[in-house]
Amino acid sequence: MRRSRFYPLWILIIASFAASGCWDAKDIDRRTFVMGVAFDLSDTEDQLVMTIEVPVLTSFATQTHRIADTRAFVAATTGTSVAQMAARIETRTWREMFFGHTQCIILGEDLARESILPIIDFFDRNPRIDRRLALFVAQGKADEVLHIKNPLQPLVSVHLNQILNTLTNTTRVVKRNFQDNLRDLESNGDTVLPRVRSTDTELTIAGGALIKDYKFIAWLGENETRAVAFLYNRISGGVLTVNLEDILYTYAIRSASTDIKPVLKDGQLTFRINVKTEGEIIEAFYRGPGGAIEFDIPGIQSKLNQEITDEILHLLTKLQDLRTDPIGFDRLVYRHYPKFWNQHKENWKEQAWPQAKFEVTADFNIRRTGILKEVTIYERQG
Amino acid sequence: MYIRLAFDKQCLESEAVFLKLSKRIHHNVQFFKQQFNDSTDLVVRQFSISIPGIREIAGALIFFEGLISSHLITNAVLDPILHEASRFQQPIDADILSFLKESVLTNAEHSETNDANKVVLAIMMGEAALLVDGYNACLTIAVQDWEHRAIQSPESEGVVRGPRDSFVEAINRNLMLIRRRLRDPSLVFERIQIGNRGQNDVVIAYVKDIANEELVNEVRKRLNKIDMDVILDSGYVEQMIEDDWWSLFNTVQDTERPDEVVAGLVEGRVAVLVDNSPFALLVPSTFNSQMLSPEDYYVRWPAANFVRLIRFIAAFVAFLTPSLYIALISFHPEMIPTQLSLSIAASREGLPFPSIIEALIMELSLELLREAGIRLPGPIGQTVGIVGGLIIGEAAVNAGIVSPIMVIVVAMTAIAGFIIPTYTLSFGVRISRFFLMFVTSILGLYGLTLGILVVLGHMATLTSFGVSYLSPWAPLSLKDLHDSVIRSPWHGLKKRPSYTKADDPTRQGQRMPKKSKKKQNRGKQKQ
Repeated sequence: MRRSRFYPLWILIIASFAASGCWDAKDIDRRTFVMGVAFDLSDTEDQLVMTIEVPVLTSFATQTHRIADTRAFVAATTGTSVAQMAARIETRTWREMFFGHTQCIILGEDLARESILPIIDFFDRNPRIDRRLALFVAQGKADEVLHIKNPLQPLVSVHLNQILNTLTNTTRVVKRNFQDNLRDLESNGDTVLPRVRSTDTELTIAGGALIKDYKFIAWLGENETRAVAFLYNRISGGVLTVNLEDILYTYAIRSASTDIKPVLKDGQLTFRINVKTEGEIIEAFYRGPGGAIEFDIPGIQSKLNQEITDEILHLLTKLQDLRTDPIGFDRLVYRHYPKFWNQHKENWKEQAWPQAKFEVTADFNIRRTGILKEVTIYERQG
Repeated sequence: MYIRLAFDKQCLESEAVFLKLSKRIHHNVQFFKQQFNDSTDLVVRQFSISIPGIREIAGALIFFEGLISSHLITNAVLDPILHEASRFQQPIDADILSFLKESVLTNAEHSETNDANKVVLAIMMGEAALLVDGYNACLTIAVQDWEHRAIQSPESEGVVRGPRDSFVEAINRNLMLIRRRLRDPSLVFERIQIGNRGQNDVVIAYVKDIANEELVNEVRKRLNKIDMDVILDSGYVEQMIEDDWWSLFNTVQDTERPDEVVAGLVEGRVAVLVDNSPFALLVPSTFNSQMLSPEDYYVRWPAANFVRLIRFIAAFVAFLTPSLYIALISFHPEMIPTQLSLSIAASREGLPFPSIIEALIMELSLELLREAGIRLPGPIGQTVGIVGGLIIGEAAVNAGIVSPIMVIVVAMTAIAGFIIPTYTLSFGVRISRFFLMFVTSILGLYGLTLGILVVLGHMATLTSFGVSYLSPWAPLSLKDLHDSVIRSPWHGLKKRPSYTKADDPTRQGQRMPKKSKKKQNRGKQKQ
């Protein structure tokens, strides 16, 4: 009686030995944690260069390490595919490459111009990848980024990742992770990736790289990137400074949301884009003669609205000119007007998208002005 | 001439081997001496009762020294017999034995029998047998008194708030502790003897109009089936009456707290007390009932619930942590936060053993320490604690045998293990933990899930006197859920737990029937 009750369970367990992929037991200290990986085109034909950043584990063992200690090890190898290069580099670290904690992937400009697909595929296929990793395009060579030393954060890759995932107060880059990028790319091959630039001693993370059909085609400036961030609905904070009657007002965004609605009328496709933000004035100053004046809140708001509307319209025109749709307007059309979409899906990026019109409205709401009710105007004596 | 008595229960209970006493006192004395094989602790005090004007009648008092109170024997038996018996007047009191019984002996409890076997049993239980020449009957006088431990605070089930007394080895004291808490005439103690040679007292305690009769019968039936030489502790009885003898988990609850027993009795459970054992048994018993401490009912409900949550979490921690550690370290390092995984990897750098061996070493040394701490006498036990702490905490890490994280894991497991309120239950958790560690080291988190399934599946098949071990969760009993992980305030616990199938399910609000309440309300509205 008792034995027969457990029969199904035993069958399940025995079957699981055959079916499972869990034979890959390997202790944590027998793996190489690839924190960051950079890809470039090699000088020789059809070859890639992979550069990895690996933490030197012993330097992480105690809290009291010397600053002079090397905490990251950077190694590079060449090859034709990512897996092949990973296998090659294993002989230099004598441990299995482990991409489960990879914080960022950096693509060189030249490589991205050719195609980013071969790189993306390896990571997309691997189930252990942390999908919150950051995918960057480097201006110039990618491997240079990994060689930068930052005393605050010993691992460049962690530093880069934290900028995207934890920094809320910047609008210089679009804060989207690998998962978001993949969703864009798998839908129409277009996306915007953050740009990283390395000088001799420093990293600059600002702007974006416009990807069209898995190929890098153009850089986007900081203001354009901000417009992209608004359209992606990825604004979590940040500051905007406007000049109204020679007074500089700095507006801090506390929350923002963007609503995009396609409207099809008489065969003309129009996108109604409404940006709503709430925030406060955190800084206001003016140099020149005068006294103290009250805030002109509606004035500041309309000025802000105007600036953002212009920025977004400028960006959209540029995207139309380049025949790219990284924001995914096509998905909206597919959802709202499936018939129209079926007619135009073959040549969406080439014909229908460039002809679309936009109605952009912005609604900036200033909730607070700090504890000062008015702008103090400083009058220089003499 | 004398048949050797076979001391088995059937013989003692049935009339078949009724062995009549002789009228001649020296026959009887010789019989008892032979019965006890002239054991040196058997005392045969022979005396003669002188009755004026008639004759001298020979008498004998047979008992074991050490089992009786010599004070009682002297003052309540011998002294009255030797002095007061002279008042015997034959025409009025025809029977000297009943005269002694009714008018001479001053102690509280004695009985008359003419069955030699009963007398033998009574002597072994510490009574004194009074034989009088010319009568084929015997008076057994209850003069038991032996050395016993004083009532102390419980060792394994301490509480901060609540009574501090615990059972002792003497069963009468234990019964007293229960009776004092439950002054209910329906509280029944049924005494039977178990043990073919030991003849130990076993008492079934229940409240007659609460406990389900079938349950009581079942307990009685199982107890009567026990066929052992001696019962040295309630643990013997527990193992003979439990439903599943092969399981890691105990389906009979043991407790040394009288308040816990009384709480069980009024819930409709049955308690079994065994003489010479300070642990009472409670049936039926579920995993849930063993996870609860009496203190949960003494402190206010928010505090009780907080502690209960902690306790259930602790049970999971004690059960899962080492295997979870192995799974994450060996199979799924991507599931650990990046910074933590770096420092874990760094701390394991240079360790010679894979994580399963590391975990086994540490868990084994923990079990060694725990066992050594129990066995060693108090003062040395502390030394073991210190030495062990040094080995586990410092030296093993510095020597590069285990990683500091493993020390945390083991420490957490140990601390959490001690939070499980029943000592017996923690055995099950401790042993199944090793099973989980092995499965995990082969199959990772997947294996851990399978292992948990196996353990849970096994627990779900267990029953305790017909009650599912995992109730009230499996099968789900919504009624009993309000006294499991979360306990509702006392006014929400109006019913006894349903798993005991109590005859009288209500334990609160009986004095004011619902109908009269409604009438009162109506009256108020009219006014």
